[in-house]
Amino acid sequence: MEMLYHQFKRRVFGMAHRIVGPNDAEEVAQEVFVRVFRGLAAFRGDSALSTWIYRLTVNASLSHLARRGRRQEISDDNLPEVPATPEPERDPGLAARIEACLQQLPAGYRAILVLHDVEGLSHEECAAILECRVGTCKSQLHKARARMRDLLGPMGVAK
Amino acid sequence: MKTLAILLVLCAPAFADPQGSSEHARLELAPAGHAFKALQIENPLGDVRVEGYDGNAIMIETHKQAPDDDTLERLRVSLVPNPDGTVRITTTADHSPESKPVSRSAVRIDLVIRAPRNAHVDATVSSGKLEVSNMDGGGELDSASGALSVHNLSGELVTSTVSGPTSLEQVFGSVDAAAISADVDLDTIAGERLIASANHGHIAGRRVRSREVELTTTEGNIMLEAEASLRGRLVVSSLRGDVEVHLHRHGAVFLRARGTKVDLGQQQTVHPQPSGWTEQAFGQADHPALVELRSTYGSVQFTVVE
Amino acid sequence: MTCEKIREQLTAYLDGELEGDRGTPVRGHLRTCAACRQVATDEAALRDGLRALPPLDPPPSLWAGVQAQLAAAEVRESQRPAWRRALSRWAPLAPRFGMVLGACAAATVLLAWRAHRHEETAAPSLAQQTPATQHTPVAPPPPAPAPPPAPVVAPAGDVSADLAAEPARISGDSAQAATALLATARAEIAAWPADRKQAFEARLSELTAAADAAAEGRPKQRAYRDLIRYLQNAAIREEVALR
Repeated sequence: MEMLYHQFKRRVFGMAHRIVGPNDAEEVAQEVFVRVFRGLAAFRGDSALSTWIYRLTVNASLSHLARRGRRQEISDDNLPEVPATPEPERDPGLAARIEACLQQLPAGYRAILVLHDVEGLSHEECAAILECRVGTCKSQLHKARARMRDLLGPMGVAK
Repeated sequence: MKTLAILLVLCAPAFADPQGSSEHARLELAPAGHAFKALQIENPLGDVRVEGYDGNAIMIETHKQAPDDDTLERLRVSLVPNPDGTVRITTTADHSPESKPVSRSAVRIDLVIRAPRNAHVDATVSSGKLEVSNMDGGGELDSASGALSVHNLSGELVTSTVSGPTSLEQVFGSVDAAAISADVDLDTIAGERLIASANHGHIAGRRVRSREVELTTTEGNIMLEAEASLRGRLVVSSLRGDVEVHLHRHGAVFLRARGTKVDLGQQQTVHPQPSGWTEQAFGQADHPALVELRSTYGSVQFTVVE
Repeated sequence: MTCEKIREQLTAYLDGELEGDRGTPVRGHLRTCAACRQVATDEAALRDGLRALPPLDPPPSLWAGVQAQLAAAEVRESQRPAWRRALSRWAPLAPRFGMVLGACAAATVLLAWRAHRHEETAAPSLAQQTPATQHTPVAPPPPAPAPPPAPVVAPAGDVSADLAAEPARISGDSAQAATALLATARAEIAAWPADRKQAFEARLSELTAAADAAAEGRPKQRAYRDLIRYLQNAAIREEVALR
């Protein structure tokens, strides 16, 4: 059981963090893992285990957002202090701006960007997780990126 | 100097309780009928020291420390002798709804146990030290992060730790030592088998005379000085560490080695086979001792001391 | 093609999803249209920026929290009468067996739910399927044995609580080391022939299951030791070590 936790902890926590924000990520991730372990016996294996776990994560995150209500603005003070694994970045400033703008996107757009672009899942996997058609996923991704570009625009994306 | 010594002794009680309350007790347990066969010790709250001696009774010293008397009351040492000759010694911190919460770092129970030499020692500690010496009944020792140290023990020994430095000295019997993130130090080990593994940690062995030796690390280096026994087997492997083995041989040895760099200390260079192994025979015999040294990403160094 | 039409296809184009010749008109347009080129550059930079976001490590308190909640749930479960516990064990199977069990089980759940309105619903999935008018006469539930007294739980941060949580913490550390080593081992064995990899995975499953099933404390530590040694041997040696 611990090994299952360690296998998925970064993905679950990362997804939750980027959808609900740093303050609530741990609470949501905890809820997800409790559901995973309690539901494991009943898991019918009609999808991949990972798909099921990610679906639980996205649903828990989106429900949490809905209950909490959308945060209005993120000031510079609220830029997330993430316990990130240090990795060389081309533009460290860009990562912080991207994380901040993610929090300003509508929840659905946040989810597809996190799943497809951040976590690198395929359109098929995203569709399975979000329980929608692949075509819907693709157009959601397109709109999500466009909205992100608008948010980032004034700050400048490319150098 | 004499005056100073007296002063120090007088001052001792003042230094004895730097924090709150303490209690020191001594118990003696005499065998009823059969001799004591085994000790089972679990002390997650401090150190354990076990010393063998020539006698039948078990003597236990308990040293408790707590920030205040109420907390001290919560610290319990339980001593349960069983009819089969085992004695179970455990420590715990009681809890009731009225107890004031106190952090683990503020309390301590240390145990010093003198036991009949032939008793088997089964002990578990958490972050405290576990030391066993002069025992002849074998042992099974576990710690989370506490240092494990064995001196002069006969019988089968199994040790396991997450991150406690492990030091085994003068052990006569089969040994199995496992460490996840700690070093393992072996000195004067003789017996049928020696198995030691460390995931993140080094293994160092001196005067190792066990017949079958298997040392494995993932990240750490392995340094071994050993004697090859007749028909023995010595397998030393590491993923990323360097392997260095100095072998005293009394008979024939057949060596295979592979690593990013293989140094057999020979004047003439020995080239690796197509299989990637460098092979070398020392002496001639039908059943030479087999030595296999390997490191996937580190170097291998071997010398023979005739 | 108009800029608007091109931009609709940009995401697919940038992600390499336009097959065959479908990318050509986009490519051609971008060569000549600075505005669309800027949008494409921005979107590619955004996508790369998102891809480069670092993985996030949860705090150690997350695992502790999960275990605490699971433990609390177990305590609550053990305090429910035996027949209700049995019912909730049925619940996950019900969808599998369809409505065959549905009728009587649902009625029992409905009665139970009405009788214990203030408690947690035992089988939410069944309760949702329950038609409101099912009143099949069902024998009243057997008398429930007295629930075991709730254990006094020491407050977090207290030494007793810390001691209680320790075995799980230790096995968590071991599990973490095993997981990291597993990744290393898999990387090392990537070039193995398929049948050896299969043997490895099979043995790995056995050892992992043994570690999961082992009792907390020494048995679990021994099981993790065996698993870690197996992974070390697999990573270092070509032959699958059968230990």
